[in-house]
Amino acid sequence: MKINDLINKVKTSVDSKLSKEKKQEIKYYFRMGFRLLIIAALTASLMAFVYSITKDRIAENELAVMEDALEKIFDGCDELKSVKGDYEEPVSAVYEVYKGGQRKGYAIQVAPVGFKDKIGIVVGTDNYGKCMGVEITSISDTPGVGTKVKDRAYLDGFIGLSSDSVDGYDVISGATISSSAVKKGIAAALALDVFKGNEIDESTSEEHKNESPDESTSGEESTGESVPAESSSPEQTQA
Amino acid sequence: MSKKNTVIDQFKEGIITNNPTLVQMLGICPALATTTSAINALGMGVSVIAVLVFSNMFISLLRKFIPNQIRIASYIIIISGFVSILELLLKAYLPSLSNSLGLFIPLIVVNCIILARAESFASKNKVIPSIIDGLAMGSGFTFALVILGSVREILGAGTLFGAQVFGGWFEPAVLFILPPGAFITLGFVIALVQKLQRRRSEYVKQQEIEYKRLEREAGIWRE
Repeated sequence: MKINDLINKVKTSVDSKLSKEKKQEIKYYFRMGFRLLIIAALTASLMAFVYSITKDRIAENELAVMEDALEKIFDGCDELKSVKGDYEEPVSAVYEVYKGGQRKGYAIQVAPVGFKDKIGIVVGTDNYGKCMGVEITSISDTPGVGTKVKDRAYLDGFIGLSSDSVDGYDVISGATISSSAVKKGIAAALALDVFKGNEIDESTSEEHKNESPDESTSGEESTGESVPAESSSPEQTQA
Repeated sequence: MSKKNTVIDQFKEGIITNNPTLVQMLGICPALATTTSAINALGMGVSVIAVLVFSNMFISLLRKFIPNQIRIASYIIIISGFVSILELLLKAYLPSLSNSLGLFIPLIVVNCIILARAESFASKNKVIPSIIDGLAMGSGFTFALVILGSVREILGAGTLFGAQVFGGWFEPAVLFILPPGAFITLGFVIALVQKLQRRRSEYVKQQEIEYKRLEREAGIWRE
């Protein structure tokens, strides 16, 4: 009752203060706003409807692109486990790659800014932060110029590099902006902290580490025996 | 009969006589930026057709509901809604196209062709003519884009729709893929269209003169 009285009081006081024209003006603005609201609501509901239909499909597509790239880098993989954490700009996501129950390495999604838009790159590394392969998943730079970075020979040149040796890798002349962006992205991926937990293994299995670049088979053996067993413990403590 | 004629007229106007890009000079920015290859140009054109048809339809449906004073705001809301819908659909079903067009899909919102058609046609006409207008103007835009894209791709990369056009002897002129090449190509295409239109109007004029002369002669004979 008290509230009603109060509202009435305010209403009458406002009514007495406002002239007739002013009232009509307010009414007019409300009517305009209301129409706009209805139009916005209509469009928004249409958008929401389409979003709900396409949401899963879009996520699927993004994952498919990623898996395609991993297929090429790791010769196929069975499982991806996302590693959560706050990553700085070019790095957008980090995954652990498992094949046959063993962790083969990491897949790192980076998106450095290229000439026009962000360039989507997947960097595959082994457990110690050595680059195993690079795939470009999306690029909108100038065709024929910036897209030179998609050259197989250029991308394969990153294989075997690690965070301290990637700086020496040349960029492509004529595609300086795009290729420096790619290089920056890869450098950021290789400099991530996720490999730090594995460095303990690295020092203990020094011989294995030296073998792995020459022979892929011996490298696989070494990772198969020592890495998952020992490295899983520091990972867990971190988590 | 007359209805059919207006549909044909609308298409003729959209594609040739009043082509939004080559004659009205609207939407030049996307026309320059997305025509690096013929397939990109086609994708952009079809995207614009889709947005234009739906926004025209919607605006025409709501033309009595939208108050005159806030019509531009309402149009922008409707257009941006349809652009977002298109972007989602492209991402879901044509991811490669949405990748290569990138930022230019969201930028369809500010494509002045769409706002111009909403303002000058859809807000004053019934639903079906508005849809046809969207189709016609969109086709005109697509037509211009595909011409630009084809020329630039052939000269700049030596391919057309991704297929090799010339043998190994052809050294592509990268300039045509780059922004300056877009301006140069657009200039030449516009000049060509103007030339053709002028020739056509001169032809029509000559026909008229001839007709009048014949008429006069016939008059003399009659006398």
